[in-house]
Amino acid sequence: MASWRCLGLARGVGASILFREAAALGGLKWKRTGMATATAAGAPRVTSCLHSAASSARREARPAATRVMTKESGGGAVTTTEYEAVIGIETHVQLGTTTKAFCSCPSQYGSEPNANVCPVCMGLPGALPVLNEVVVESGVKLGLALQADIALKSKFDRKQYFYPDLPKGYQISQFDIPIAEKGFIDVDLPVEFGGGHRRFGVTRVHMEEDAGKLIHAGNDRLSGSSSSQVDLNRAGVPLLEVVSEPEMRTGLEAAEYAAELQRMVRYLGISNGNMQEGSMRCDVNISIRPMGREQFGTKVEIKNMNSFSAMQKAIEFEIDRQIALLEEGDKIKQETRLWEEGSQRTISMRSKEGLADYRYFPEPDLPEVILSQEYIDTTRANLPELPDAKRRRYESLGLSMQDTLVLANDVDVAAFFDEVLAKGADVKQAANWIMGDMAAHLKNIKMTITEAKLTPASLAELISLIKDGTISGKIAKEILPELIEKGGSAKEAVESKGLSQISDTATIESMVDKILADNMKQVEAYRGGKTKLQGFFVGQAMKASGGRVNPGLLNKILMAKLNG
Amino acid sequence: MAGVVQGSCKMLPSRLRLPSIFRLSRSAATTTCAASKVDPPNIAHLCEKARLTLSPEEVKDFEPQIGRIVDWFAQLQEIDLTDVPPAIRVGEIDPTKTLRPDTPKTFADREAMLASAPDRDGPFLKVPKIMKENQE
Ligand SMILES: [Zn+2]
Repeated sequence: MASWRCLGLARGVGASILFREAAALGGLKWKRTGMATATAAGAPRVTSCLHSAASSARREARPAATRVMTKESGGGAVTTTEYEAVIGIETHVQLGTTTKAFCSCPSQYGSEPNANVCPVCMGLPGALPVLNEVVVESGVKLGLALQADIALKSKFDRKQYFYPDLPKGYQISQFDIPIAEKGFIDVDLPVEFGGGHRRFGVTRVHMEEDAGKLIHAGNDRLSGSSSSQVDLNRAGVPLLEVVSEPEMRTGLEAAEYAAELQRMVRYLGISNGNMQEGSMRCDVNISIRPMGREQFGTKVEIKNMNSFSAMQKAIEFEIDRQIALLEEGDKIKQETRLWEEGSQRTISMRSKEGLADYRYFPEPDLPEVILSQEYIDTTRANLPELPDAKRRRYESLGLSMQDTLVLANDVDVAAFFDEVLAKGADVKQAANWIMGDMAAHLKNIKMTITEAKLTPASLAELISLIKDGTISGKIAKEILPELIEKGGSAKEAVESKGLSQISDTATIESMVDKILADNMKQVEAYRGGKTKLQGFFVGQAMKASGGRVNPGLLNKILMAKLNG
Repeated sequence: MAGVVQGSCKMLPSRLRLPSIFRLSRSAATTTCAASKVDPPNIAHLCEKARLTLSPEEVKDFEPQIGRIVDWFAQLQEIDLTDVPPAIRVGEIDPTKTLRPDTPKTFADREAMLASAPDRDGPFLKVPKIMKENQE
């Protein structure tokens, strides 16, 4: 029952963050980090086991009114200031297209440096960009998923800045007419933080291109190197930038917003949303103000958070830092700060006082993006079930909120679960098997749910074999690992191994007779009042049958014979 | 240049507020394109934005030249655009012909292209070390 003990822990404080981390890391990453290697299904559960002892003590939900500062004023009267944080998030989602946004260079991650370049993405004179149709499709899909208004006509602009990772000297982006505007994200807050639903506005979604990568190799302190290396494989890779309204008030809300956005892009299949690899990057804008004041405070931007829990911690650190500054009568500087994972704090990166002037102007090399209403309607009709709709459906099936959140967290797990249900399996049983034994075994053998040989049909069959009494739950647990690793039908596995449950009264009676005859001493002791020996006889029967005897029938027959 | 022309006339939706490197006179930014005037360019500011270093003599030399170019474009200010709907771009576009399928193609002359870079370091391009201050 190890996995169920885990479930208990998973329900504890802090688990949801670990669920999100697990999802953020993805199967591949788990293997590489050598942490809990698991499927997305297994990882949350088991990671929770590994981590909850260490981290849950420190983590707690923070209320929206972040801190009450008490100050004694001159006359001895006590004044208190309650602060609230105002948080907005800009998220860059790298699209999982085969090619770059404006040229046909492959856009995959992990090629040799500068393997995927051409005159367009290197910004050579005379090269003309041509927009990738999948970028538009992805933008429309995400816009629709966010229930945003899709622009029938949007356009590209040049955002100018000078940096060696940007060979053209400008980034092609969308400035004043983005592909989608005015959407929202619905979030279910984790049960252990009190639960509840929140809706956060999304200002806009726009299409743009990524920059290349700059590597400051050969540390200049040692080599005195005054140069950097540039890899332009990423230059021109398509991004969607999603800008939220400044509607979040806590680190938790911000992390949940980002986690839901990640689920959305994964459900839509437009990005892997991997934060560790930088496929999803969140920049947080945060300011604080006394409760009740409408005017925003000076905002600070935080970058460099590569997990949801880092995001939450960075925001909480920043709220404390800003409150402390105000309380000491200092001013908050408008700046960009970096989250430092090692020291668990934010550090100043650059001042934003001389605000950048990007000199946007319409990109003359690209025509505007014109969409037909028909195209938008077709795309809408073909959208998959989205995370929020899935959660509402799971709830309506009678699953607890906790189970709902775990199952709907990962698109592959949810798909597997849905297929098991489609094969007629009991909802609660299917949920328990997937989140419990299946997840635990997948973790042990470092496999993801999509890699498992066990088909949804086979799991549904296994569940029905327990239900109709062909096998016991214990036997099912025993054959599950083989089904996961080798596949095949559950029924055949049971038959070929002779594992089906013995439910034939005559067989059990003769088995019991033999056990009683072989253990006369114990029978006498039992009849003399040592009724605890019942367990001994059950054990003998289980041993003799390889655990296959139907426990209910066995008890009934055993009692009748012992007492009769 | 684009900033001047588009920001000051009604070719663009009114909500578009392009940060221009030129300062527009108030009237130009509002409604009456025909009567508006464009302020002369601030060469020092332009140089800063374009990361160019010009000597005072060069500034003196360029100022009237750039001024003449701006004035030439400023003729557009005289067009009466009352009742002309804002347009992102001039001319019709066939939306079915502006997109490309997501099919990869490797650029054949990649090595020649990379070889034309000023400096290389193994598979990388080599550039002077720059602090991250100007990066977004
Ligand atoms: Zn290219």
